[in-house]
Amino acid sequence: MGTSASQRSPATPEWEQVRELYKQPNPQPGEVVGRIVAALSPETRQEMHGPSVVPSLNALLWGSCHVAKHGLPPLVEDISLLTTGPPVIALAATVRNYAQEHITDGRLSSRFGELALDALSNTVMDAAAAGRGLLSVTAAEAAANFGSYAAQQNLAGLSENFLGHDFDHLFRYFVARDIGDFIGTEAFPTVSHGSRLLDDVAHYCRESTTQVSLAAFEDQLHEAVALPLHERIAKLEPVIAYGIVTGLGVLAGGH
Amino acid sequence: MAARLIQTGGGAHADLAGANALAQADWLLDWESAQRNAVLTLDHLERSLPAALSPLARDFVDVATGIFLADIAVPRGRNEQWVRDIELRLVVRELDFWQSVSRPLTRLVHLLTADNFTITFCPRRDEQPPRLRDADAGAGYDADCVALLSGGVDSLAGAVLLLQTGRRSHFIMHYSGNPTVRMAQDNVAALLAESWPDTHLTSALHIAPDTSSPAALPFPPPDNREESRRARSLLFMTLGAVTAATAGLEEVYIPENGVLTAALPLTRARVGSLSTRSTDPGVIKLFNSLCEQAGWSCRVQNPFLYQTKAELIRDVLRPALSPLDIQKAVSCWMTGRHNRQCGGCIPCLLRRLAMLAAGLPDEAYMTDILGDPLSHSGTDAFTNLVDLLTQVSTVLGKSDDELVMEYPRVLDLATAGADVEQILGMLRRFAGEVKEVLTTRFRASAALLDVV
Repeated sequence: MGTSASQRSPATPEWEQVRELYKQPNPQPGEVVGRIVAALSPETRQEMHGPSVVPSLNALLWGSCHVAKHGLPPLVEDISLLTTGPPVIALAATVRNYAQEHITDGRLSSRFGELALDALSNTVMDAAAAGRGLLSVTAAEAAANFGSYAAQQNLAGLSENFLGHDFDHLFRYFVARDIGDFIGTEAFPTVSHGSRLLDDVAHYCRESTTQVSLAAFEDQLHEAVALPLHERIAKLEPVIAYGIVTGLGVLAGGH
Repeated sequence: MAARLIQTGGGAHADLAGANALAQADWLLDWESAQRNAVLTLDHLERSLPAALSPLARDFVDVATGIFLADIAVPRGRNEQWVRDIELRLVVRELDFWQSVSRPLTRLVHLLTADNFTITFCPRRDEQPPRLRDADAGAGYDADCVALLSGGVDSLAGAVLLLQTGRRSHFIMHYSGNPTVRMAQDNVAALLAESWPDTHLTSALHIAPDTSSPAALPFPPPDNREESRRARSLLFMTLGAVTAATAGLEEVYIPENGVLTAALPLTRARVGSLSTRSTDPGVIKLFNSLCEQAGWSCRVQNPFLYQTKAELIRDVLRPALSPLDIQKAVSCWMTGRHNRQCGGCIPCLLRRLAMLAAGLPDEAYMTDILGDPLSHSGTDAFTNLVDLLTQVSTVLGKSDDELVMEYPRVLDLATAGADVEQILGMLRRFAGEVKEVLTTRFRASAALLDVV
């Protein structure tokens, strides 16, 4: 246990099928992902879109709407980050902190909630930087980029980006907990080889799940943001559930 | 289903509602009565201080003790069952205060443990009169700061830094239940006493589960206790703050190197509280907000946030102590189960690499995972090494932008006021140290890192 611990995947025949792939050099990311989907228990699938994931989507939408309406400074002034660090970092840290408070107050913590929190952070940074360097984007640019999703009625697009990052983090997690056992073998001689598989799997997940459209939920997403915090979970949970279930369906057959 | 734990004692549960609650509890916690299933000894500390602990200070110790024991009593599950739901009811003297800080306290505990804690408070009803103090209690107390001493290398570095700059520190140790760690704690305290005689004070406190009394309430046996102990640092910080507040001091040091403080998960498989966040700047910030609300002027601080362990050894310890003395500090979490440090846990790996990077001689470990990694393939020690090397490889191979995306936890450090660029710089120096040690001394491990 100690200061840092990791736990291998469950000892089931399905997960053993996944680990079999790590004995081969250059396993196809689609095949790895497909076998992982097949190995997921119904409970695990359910938890992947459970209430603990919703605070991250909620914070993302809230952040974009808030910035679109008020700009960046009112959002981040509480933690005085704008004066001490890059604006994109300040923005993402503020939105992440908002989600964490929601998780703590609602007793919503879970493993998948933690992964969603990281997905939220990546989504905000991606959206705010819009392809430029995270550390070089100005506050005005970050606000314009991130706020544009709310301003242009594209919260569904922002949510789709979140979904892609969530699948990225979920499948990195599933692979990372087992791949260490295979480093130093012919298939994965160095840690770089392991990292390459993780990157390939994550990229595959992000790319594949762009097929999942949340456009039909655009109105529902705007309505949710206008609700009191405690009512948003019920409104957003079906959106996450649709995205994760549909995404897993896409990934299940991937090669 | 949440695990329910209730602190008994203080006459708080004499009413019917309290009795019902007791019957529904999974575990009762008691460190005061004849039925106690935990030990809490503050006598030595109280005798050394210039004043008695205030009721609020005693509450701080009780609250931290209750959380510490709850963290031990409820085992975590595997994988997605790691996160726990815990309801904890504690007995306090200053009910209004605890109800007012319930939210930041819960946030703090969540940051440390990543669990869903619900902490409620009820008032004591049998407050005993203040204990009589010996006439000479606290005589000659002249400490000007408090520092926490764990028995490890980093807190030893913190102690040396204070003593070398003429500070008169009151060192606080939370005695481990592990006899080997306890011996290391005593060795470190003795080393400081010999090297800087009559300059400081050391108090060792014993707070732990203890069912040795025949009347003791049940408590999970050692094999069923949770080993991760993520809430322990709250107890540690509390003991430091209570000492400082009672003595009217402002500085409480909790020295920990930057790599462990930043606690960036080595891989995604170690997210959340799988990686300890014992000195997380956010935790310290929240704890300091509790001190502020209590009206205390003391603040906890970590002087080594931007330094690697090798830098602490090279720059602070080596000029002041012999290699043998430095090696008296213990880092291994497995110590006590074996007669020397295991060599395969993350603290052992970090210690060994840091000692060598700082130019100290190598030490003996149960497992030479660095020298012959592949012979340990399939073990947790091997996974620890591989995951550590994965992070080193990532840090060496990615730009600052990419690292922030790779480790979003950096944002939590920013929220707590840490400088992200300095954190990244510290991580790059750490990765460079590891690479240097591996390429010069451990070619088999260097081969895994792809740098040969």
